[in-house]
Amino acid sequence: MASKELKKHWNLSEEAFRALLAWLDGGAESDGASYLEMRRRLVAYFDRKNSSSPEDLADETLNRVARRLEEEGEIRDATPPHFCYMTARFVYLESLRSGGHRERSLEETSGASGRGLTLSAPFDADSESQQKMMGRLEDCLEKLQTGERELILEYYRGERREKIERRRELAMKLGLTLNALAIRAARIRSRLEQCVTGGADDSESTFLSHRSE
Amino acid sequence: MPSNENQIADDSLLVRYLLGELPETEAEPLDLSSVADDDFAARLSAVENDLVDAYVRGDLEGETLERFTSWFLASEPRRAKVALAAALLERERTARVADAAASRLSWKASSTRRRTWSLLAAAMLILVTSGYLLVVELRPKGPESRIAERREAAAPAVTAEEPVTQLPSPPLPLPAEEPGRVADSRAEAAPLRTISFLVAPQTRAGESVVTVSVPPGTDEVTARLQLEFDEFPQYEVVLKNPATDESLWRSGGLRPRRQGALRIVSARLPASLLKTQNYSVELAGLSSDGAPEFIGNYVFRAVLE
Repeated sequence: MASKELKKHWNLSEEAFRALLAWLDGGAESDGASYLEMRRRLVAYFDRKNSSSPEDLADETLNRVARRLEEEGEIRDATPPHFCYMTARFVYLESLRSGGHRERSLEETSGASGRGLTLSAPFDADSESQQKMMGRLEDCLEKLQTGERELILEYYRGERREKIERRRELAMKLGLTLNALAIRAARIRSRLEQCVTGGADDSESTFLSHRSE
Repeated sequence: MPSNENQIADDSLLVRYLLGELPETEAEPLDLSSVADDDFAARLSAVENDLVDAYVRGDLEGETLERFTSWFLASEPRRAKVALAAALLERERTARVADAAASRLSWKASSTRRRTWSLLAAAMLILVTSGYLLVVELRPKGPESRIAERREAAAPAVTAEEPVTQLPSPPLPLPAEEPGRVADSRAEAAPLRTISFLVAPQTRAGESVVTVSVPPGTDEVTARLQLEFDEFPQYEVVLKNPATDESLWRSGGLRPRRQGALRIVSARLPASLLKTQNYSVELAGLSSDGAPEFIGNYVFRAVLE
């Protein structure tokens, strides 16, 4: 019980955090990019599980991984991403038992019913928020490297058939398969999303502008 | 984070996964890959982005749309993805409108330049010709001229020695009214700065709104309203502020015209009326006795640059 209490109140020290970053990097210095990417995936995982607080559960997962690293010095029985997932799975199951999960519906979360409110047309409702959003998007696009900015704008432009054709041409131009192009575009958009949604502080902005694909 | 090709699933399965439709036993391996497999995670993001984009463009239908609105939008992080997709779409549309306006302005400018140069050339030709006639008429008549006049009187046929070489070689000063005339020509050729956009009738709530960027100095904004059915000889357009329902401008009778496969009613709105905000445009058909019959509503957003 005492051990459990100790674990519950364990705080992530700077040293433990550095060890976690190094372990996630797997020997390659990523300047925190591996950590941010893992955290993003964990948040998405908990979000897809309809957890009530995906960000908290992602942080809890990474804290537990860091604690295990601190306690044991190393983790040999799984790769870092695999171990993070196993830990996340436990955290998720625990959250189910403690009621930290609920089936959410649109009505519950927003009071809206069906399509047509701000959810489907986020620019129709509030011009001030629209202007802010557009401003953030422009700022974040500026922080991307020129080639990345051009790629993402070109990749996601156009309607159905036009878009497919455009992507085919873009892939040929860049010498990539369509799948490789899709993956590259998705990675850039993911970073753009992190920036636009306000999660990017100065250090993440640096990551946004300097991390190469 | 290694890639596991064996676990890469097809897109339709990923869409079902993203919409929470898979049973736990099928979802669990995908959960693992979404965290532990670089390529799978990126591909899942790609499929999710395309799904969200399809939603904001109004391309989702049936059960997929139902599931998207009832399940996918129930999460704040996922709504943030929708907001980003909508912002990207808005940016794309704004850029497209700006490109179209720029190319129209560029075409008008070059067309205007051509007209101006043509008018100037014509004016110069007239001046040179009239100047020549004036000089010929008024030049001092010295002995040679008088001899020539006598020759002409004696033999009116023009000879090779007649004074073609006496044409003034330096340019003639312009008559006083000429600069004004040239300036008037320029004024006539000055382009009316017009922005034009095509808008379809709003058929359901929450559709993305066409954004019209209005550069400084724009005189008119032409709303080209796409007709679903063309049943009236003329139409009337009323520009309204949707927030107050105040009528801001009303057209006279407008005749529809054909543009490719579309039937269009064009309403030329004074740009000075517009602010950065949403506007609604009410379209009414005018029957032969002039009675208006409401047809539809069009929405656009003006953004003053």
